[in-house]
Amino acid sequence: MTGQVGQISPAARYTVMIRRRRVLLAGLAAALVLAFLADLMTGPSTLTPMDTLRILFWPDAATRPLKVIVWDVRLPGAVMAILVGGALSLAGAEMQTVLNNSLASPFTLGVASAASFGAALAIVLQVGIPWIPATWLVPANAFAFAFGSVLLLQAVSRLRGRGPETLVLFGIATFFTFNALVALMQFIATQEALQQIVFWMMGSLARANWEKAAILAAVLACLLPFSVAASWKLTALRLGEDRARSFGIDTVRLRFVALLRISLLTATAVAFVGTVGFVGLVGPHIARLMIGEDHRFFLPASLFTGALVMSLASIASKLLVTGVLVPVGVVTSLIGIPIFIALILGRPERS
Amino acid sequence: MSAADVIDETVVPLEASDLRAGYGRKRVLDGITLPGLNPGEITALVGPNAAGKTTLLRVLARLLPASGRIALGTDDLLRVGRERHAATVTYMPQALPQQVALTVFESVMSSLMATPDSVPGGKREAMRWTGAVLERLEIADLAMTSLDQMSGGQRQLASLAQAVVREPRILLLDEPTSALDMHHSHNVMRLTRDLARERAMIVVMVLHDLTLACRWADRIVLMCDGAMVTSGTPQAAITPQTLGAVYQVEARVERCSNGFLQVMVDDTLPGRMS
Repeated sequence: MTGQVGQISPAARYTVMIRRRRVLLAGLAAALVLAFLADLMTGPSTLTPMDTLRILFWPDAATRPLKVIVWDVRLPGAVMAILVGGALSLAGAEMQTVLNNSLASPFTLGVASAASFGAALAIVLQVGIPWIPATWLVPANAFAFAFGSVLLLQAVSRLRGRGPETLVLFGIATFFTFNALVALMQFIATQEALQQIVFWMMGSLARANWEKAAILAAVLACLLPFSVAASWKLTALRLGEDRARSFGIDTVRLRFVALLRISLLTATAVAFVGTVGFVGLVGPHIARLMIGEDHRFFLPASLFTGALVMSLASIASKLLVTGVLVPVGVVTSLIGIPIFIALILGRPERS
Repeated sequence: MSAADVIDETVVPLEASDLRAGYGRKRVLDGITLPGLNPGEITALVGPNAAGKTTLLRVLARLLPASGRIALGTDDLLRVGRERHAATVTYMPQALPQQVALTVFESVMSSLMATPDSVPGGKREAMRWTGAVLERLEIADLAMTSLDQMSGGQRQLASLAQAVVREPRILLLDEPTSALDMHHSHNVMRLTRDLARERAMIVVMVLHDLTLACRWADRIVLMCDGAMVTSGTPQAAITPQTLGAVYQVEARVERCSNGFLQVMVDDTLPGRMS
């Protein structure tokens, strides 16, 4: 390792590395575009890449059925897959950093469970936020509970110590509490409502529409600049809480604001597609292995990897059983886990 | 901001007086006053477990609320703004967290870029400073090595680089050699001492190894039960009497042919619950 690189200055090698990271990010983005197109091509009637592009860019030239298939049936789901995957993965990445725990994700810390309970409450008891139209009752409730669970997490951590350990432990308690409450809802639910809850919790892109995609895109677009602005501070936080504080970083505030972003991203994504657990955990891990933890690259990379995993899961969900749309939440785990394990086994051994 | 903009330019000692701090209702430091700590010198805080050494260091780093006064020139470091404090004092914890996927260069860069005005020239200048620090600590070859793939000794040098790149006037180190073998312990101590001299830094560190402290520190502050027992040069502070009183051990302190002190412990003394 030493010796032959001695002549080139560290700063010059760093510049080269930064360039390589940019290329990697561009590669991820390109892969995402390909996956997105493949997602549009797959379905009961398979389209060629050329046809898909033609319908996408010149919709008026296409026949009406083809136009409907691509624009009304497949496109909202494909767009939603990318947005949901990106949002959950970005949320997971920030969560793992601010809680200093590589097992932290919106799913493992109970945010998704809280959303499930909110949805179950609306489905079984029709209880929800007043003045919300009936069609929005379930997502609105899921959002409220997911957002509320993170606020609760914050409030409790403020009461008792402010370290990340308290937050993680309380998150796990939240996870089990809401799971028990969901089980209770399932127990008292009618046959029909029970089916609805189970289906909701499996996660599905079939519920996607342009309205929901637009809302999630707007949330993501509003929050992303703040994540990027905090990226140096988040990187420094990886060097240890006390060290970061000694650098003059207000870590309590950094964590609080990051958790607000995380809760908004997660709550919005989960409200619209149901529980999609694995992507918030696996996306950041893939990104970390590929690109490291300089958050200027790690955060966008997490967004891309999450979106990519979700997009691939969406394709697989259509291909797994012919003619049946397997719930995407199930497929995400089935697709994500092999990638995850392969990456973990493939990385160099630590000293 | 460069060291010159911070506080004033005259070389002034750090004077901490009447420091009181604790955790919850438990009082750890009960009005401790330190002698003036001079720029360019290493002060080692030594003493038995639970003497309050780390607490004192964390108070100096303002990681723990405390009352009293920490004067540097006309400033009271317990009361200056967060930015001013961060530009003056840097704290290095015992160890880096495990499994951080950052290269050494990135980690040192982020130590500068984390706060917007810790380096005047922006990113380009930060890269230059980072490169220079890695060269100075003789770890330039490791610049692109990930922190989680380095040995303990290398990690400790990376950790030191993250701290000294900020060019603090006061550098606080918490047991910088706790996980290191003899070679790496002395290497870290020598580099720290040289940097202290070069940059006129006030270095305060918690140390457990008295031989290491006697070899490299300019001043020793011997602590027990949240108070200072004695302070001074190693020769003045480390004696069989003070060691007996503080550690409850029967010790011999001998001056070697090279002038450094060697502490030898023969037995424990009765009287303290261990």
